[in-house]
Amino acid sequence: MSKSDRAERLLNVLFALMASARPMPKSALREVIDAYRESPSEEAFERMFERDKDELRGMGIPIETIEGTDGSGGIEGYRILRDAYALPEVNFTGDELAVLGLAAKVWEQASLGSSAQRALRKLESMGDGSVIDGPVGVEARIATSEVSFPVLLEAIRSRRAVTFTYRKPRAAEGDARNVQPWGVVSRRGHWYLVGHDIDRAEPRVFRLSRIAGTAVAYGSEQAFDIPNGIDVAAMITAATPEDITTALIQIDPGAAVSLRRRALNVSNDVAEISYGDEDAFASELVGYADSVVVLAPESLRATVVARLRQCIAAQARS
Amino acid sequence: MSPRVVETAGARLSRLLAVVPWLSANDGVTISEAARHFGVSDKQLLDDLWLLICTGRPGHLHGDLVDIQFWDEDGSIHVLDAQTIDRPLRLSPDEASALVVALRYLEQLPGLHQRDVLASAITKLESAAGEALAAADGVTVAIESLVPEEIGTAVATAITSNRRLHLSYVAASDVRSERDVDPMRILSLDGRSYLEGWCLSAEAVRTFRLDRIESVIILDTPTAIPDDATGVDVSLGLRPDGPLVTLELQPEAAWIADEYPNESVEDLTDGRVMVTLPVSDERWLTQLLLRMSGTVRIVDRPELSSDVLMAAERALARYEQ
Repeated sequence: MSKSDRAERLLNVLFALMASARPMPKSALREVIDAYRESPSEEAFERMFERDKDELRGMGIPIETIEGTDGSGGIEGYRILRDAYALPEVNFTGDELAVLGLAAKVWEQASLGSSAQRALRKLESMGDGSVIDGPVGVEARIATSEVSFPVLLEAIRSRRAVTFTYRKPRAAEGDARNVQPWGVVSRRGHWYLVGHDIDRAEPRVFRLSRIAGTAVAYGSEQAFDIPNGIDVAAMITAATPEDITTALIQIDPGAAVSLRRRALNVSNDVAEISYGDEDAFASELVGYADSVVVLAPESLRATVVARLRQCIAAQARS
Repeated sequence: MSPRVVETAGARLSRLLAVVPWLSANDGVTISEAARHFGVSDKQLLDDLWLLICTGRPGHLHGDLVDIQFWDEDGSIHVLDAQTIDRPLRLSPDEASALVVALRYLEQLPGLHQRDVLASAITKLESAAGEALAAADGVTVAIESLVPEEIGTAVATAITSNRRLHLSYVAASDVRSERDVDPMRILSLDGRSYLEGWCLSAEAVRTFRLDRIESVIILDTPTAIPDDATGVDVSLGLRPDGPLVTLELQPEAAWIADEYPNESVEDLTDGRVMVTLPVSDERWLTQLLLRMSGTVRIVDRPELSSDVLMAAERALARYEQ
């Protein structure tokens, strides 16, 4: 049977089940739908009807099964109530529709993208006729190629746990993690998962690019609650060391601009800058080469000098 | 056999159910307009309309069928009787959450000037979606933005009022420049925001990371963007141009292959990685190599290695004097 015949049949079934509030018995459906009437046997009809019913329900069409009143538990028939079917009355302004259009384009990832597009198509019929005030001037994409991204979103939505292999920065092998996912966060262009690490029994932050292969959801839905009022973006920030030590750095005029921007205070080209991770800060400073000199603290100065020596040794070797 | 787009019956039905309410709400649109709106060919839309008018309540007598008039010479379409599908089908949980999570994500972008519009769209969507949205509750795609609010606001204001911007900008190579830019759009890719505009110094379309803009002034000059200036295709991502450089990374530097857009990555033995990436500014590369103190080796550009060596020696001299 061709696809167009099936779409037509599904649509006619939909109309039949919406035609009255009274449930329609299966036998009546067999009479009014051409393909059902023409099916060679009762069995063939049953199979066809079950498939169609599943397809319609899969699209979100609310087909109700009404049991008979004789107490036998038998099925009297099926119906679709118009109010249960139709999108509630709502009116969007032209500007609101433009913003919805922008949102529908956010997902580069195929399954999320097509869901958002289908939603938009429906909502676009609910415009109030007003015209767009002006261009939105923004184009946003979540274009991550992380294969786990849609899996994690779906797991957060259904509150299912996920399992994945997580690679540590300096190790070839990863270890298995079981996590109740709470949210995903973009920080400086990278994606992170925030959630409750089941084995370690505490909240943890994971970088998506270090998940080897794909995360897999497991176990039942609604398996956990996301704690009320958690701020996943704040959790990422908290997971990075806080700035606790203050350094004095001499910066040549006009140099190390990004560093100077972070200074608490600058006088006579000496900047006060706070940092958390000495190693990370030392490596940043080495990047500025001879345009900065660490004046204090002594340990930071020593780390920078040691790194410069390493650098010279490595380049001389190569 | 000629190639055809294979469409499932479900996908087609989903479109048919959206087509009727949309045509009702937009009485008189042409077949081509409707086809474009739904992203199908004119022929496909016509086939859809022919199918629709053959469907309806059981009995299929006059008055039971969907009635659409679409044979006028001007190609206009008029829905005369939509039967019971005059309104769109409710949003499914998938659809509602895909859209609302994206809207909440947009809310966090720096420089979105229509925040009130976004907020009212979310409220209306929530009321229209009803239970379907219970599922999206708590699905957070958050952005940690490093862009000062005033920079985002100024850029957005200049875009909507078509005014030229004067930027003080710090490039990835740590070089500051002052330039005039006619703003076109704000682009946001994976949470990182950029201003796209016509740069008057480069006489070309350029993108500027919002978190690298030091200061911005909205000038009185109106924008004058050449007609043929086209924005980047965001679906391709923002890729830097520049000659390719191949680097050998020790395991502790392997993150570089994750961090920067590259042409190829190859895993070597002992956790080392070989990566080839475009480098638009050699100063940026020198800086990266200094920072990585010996854990990165330039494979194919020996002269760049000596730049790094000399820079490190100059720096060390300042500590040893």
